Amino acid sequence: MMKSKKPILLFRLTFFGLIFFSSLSHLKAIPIFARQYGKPCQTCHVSEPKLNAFGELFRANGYQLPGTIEDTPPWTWAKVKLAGMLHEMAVDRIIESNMRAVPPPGLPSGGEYHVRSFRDAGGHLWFGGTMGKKLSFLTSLGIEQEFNVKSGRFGSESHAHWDFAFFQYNNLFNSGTGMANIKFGSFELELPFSNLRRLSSALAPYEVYRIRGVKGAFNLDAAQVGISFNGLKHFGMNFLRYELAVVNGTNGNFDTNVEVDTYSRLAMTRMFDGMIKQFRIGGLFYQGAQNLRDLSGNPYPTADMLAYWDDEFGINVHIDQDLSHFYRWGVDVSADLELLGYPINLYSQYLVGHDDDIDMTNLNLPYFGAGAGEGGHTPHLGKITSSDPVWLVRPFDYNGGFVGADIVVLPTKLYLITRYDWVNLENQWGDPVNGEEIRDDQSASWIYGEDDDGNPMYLDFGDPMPRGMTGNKKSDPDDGQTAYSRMTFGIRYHLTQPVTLIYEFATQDNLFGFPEPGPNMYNPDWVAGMGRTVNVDSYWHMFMVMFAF
Amino acid sequence: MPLIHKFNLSFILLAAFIFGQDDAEILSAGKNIYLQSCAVCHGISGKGDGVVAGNLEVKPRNFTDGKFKVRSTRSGQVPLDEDLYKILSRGMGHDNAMPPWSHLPVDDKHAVIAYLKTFSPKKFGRQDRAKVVPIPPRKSTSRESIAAGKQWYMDIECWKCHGITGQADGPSTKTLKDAWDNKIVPPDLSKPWLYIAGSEPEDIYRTLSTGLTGSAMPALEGTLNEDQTWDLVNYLLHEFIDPGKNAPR
Repeated sequence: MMKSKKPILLFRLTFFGLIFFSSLSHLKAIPIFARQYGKPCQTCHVSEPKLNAFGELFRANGYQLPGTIEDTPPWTWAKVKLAGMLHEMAVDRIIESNMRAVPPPGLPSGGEYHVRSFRDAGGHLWFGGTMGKKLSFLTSLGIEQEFNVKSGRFGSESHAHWDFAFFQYNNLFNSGTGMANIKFGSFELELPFSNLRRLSSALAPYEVYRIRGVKGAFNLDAAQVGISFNGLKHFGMNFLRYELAVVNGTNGNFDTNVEVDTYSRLAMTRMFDGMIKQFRIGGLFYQGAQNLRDLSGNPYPTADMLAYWDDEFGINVHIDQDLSHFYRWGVDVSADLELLGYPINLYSQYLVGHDDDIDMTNLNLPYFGAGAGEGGHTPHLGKITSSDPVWLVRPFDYNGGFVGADIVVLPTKLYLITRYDWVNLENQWGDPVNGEEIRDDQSASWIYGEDDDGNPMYLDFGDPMPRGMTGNKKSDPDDGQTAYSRMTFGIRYHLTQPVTLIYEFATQDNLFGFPEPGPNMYNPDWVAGMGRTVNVDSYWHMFMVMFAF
Repeated sequence: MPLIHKFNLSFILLAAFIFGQDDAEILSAGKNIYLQSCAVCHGISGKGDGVVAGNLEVKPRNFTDGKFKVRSTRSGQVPLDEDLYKILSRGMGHDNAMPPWSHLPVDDKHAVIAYLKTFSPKKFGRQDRAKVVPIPPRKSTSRESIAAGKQWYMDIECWKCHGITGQADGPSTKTLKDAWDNKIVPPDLSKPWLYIAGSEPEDIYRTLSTGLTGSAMPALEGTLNEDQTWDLVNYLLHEFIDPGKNAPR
């Protein structure tokens, strides 16, 4: 069958259309601080949005030039401290699903899929700067089309959201320029490498910051609400950057427990003369707890449920474990050097994470949820063996990181980026380590494959979890799926100051952050139990245009 | 430790011995400010090779050669402290990454200038002999003056770099290099915010007279007399910057 040429034509038209559009622009518009100080973007950025060493010093000093304290109340502002960025990407992606049973949502099981689409159209508005002596602020409003899964199908929707919004009081105790600051509001933690300011696209984030247990909701790179004590202290050619933050640990949401989540970060940087220009080594530690009520997909017993169990079955459930604890620790290095005349930034992060990931779905409790007793799903009342609940605890551990290089080929114009991301999951639900059993009656009706005679195979409550369910590597069908990796290459070209063209190629082994379909499609626990890594490999070509104004 | 840095430290110690504790303290304070605020671009040894430098279109100045673009002094001479103070406070043009350090405390500015001079001690040792280029009162923007200025613009080949239209599109524009073999881009003359030494009539007169040492912009003092220099300034102002404000009278 002949393939339709329309998508290819559309793709080409768009590509050249974007170039034509970009070539029309001779604007010298430069965002926010560049405009305020009348400087080119590369004063603070390697390539937008990644900050260079000067930009990091500027940011650390509360968006003031390093070593200075500004006194600019809003009524003295000569220029509007507002800037924005628009972007859209076109993706050509091959997805290979090697899963024996459950396909990616919206796709049939097994095989290879070719997706060619425009996506992630949207933009950001930033408003920030200094607001009187010692006070600075920054807000970011995002309006984006975002990928989602609805009723088991791929989809997207646009919505506006605050990325972050915070104030920073600089130079506490008259400590000098930027040595001690206090930040409050919704802010990004002082991570070694910012996912908000990386050079790769939305398809290729610093993945290890986003890993979490099946039930976990905490993202290390998400904006947190709280207070941060941070600063930068110079010691000659060295400088120390630190942050101690107390936050909710709920990705900007209201925290419903009394435990304090803390983040600490310490990094030492040294400047050099010669080929190596700057070297940084640092570490981070986050420890926190989330109320189990806040975790997604957990059928945490409501008052009605407790009453129901008590009235109907005489089970008096004692909720004695409210919190799921988690921690992250990591070490990082970054080196700036000039090799054969090309400035290069080499960087790496290693991170270890743990989530208690307690599952409140208790084997010994009767099924209680939508559809109970209907559609052939019989509540497993017979499974009640005890009035003393046994909580399933599925500790989730992982380690991983990334190593990358950003190369300046033509200063202010052309950049090459490359990065390798990896994550090893030590135990996930789909592994034989924990949670070996099918635990829910809805799974019983689910066909997960065919036997040798072509008959459908079913799983029933209490059946062992098939090991190949999440794995099923072609080479080793029974191997569990416990690793994720991605290799990313990118080219960034600044056509004019406000217009950046980006091409990216990436190849990804396994899929992480697998979206959870709605409960009507699959059992949410079951699909979540597939683990966050499933055997769906892919590679893609991505073209993106960014317009900063 | 690089040799040049050892030299600088020795210089600071020597200065402390010769000039007394106060000067040494100023130099020490200047060094701290320099490392904190300037070294990422200009490098810890002042060679213009800091960690950020490689990605900048206009490279930061190498202080060790004692060549400074923006000065009030004659070509080949080092700038006065006032010149350095002025650059520090207002920065350079928009295509240049040097920001305006206007919020740096006055004492800090003086300290960092004192330290900066240690990168080129020999040349700054002769700073007291530097001669300031005089700027006579502005000549009126008559039709004749503008016409004469236009003629000078062509005769002394300003157009080769800045272009006939002034939009940095001359035949030599793309091949220009500075004294350190870095590519340089002459400013589009119709954009006064790109003038690194200022776009007021006196600023332009000074830049024409002193030149921008280390770049391709020569000093015209000795080539054009005071009258002729003002003619050229009048032409640039009328033709490229603000024709209305600088119309012939």
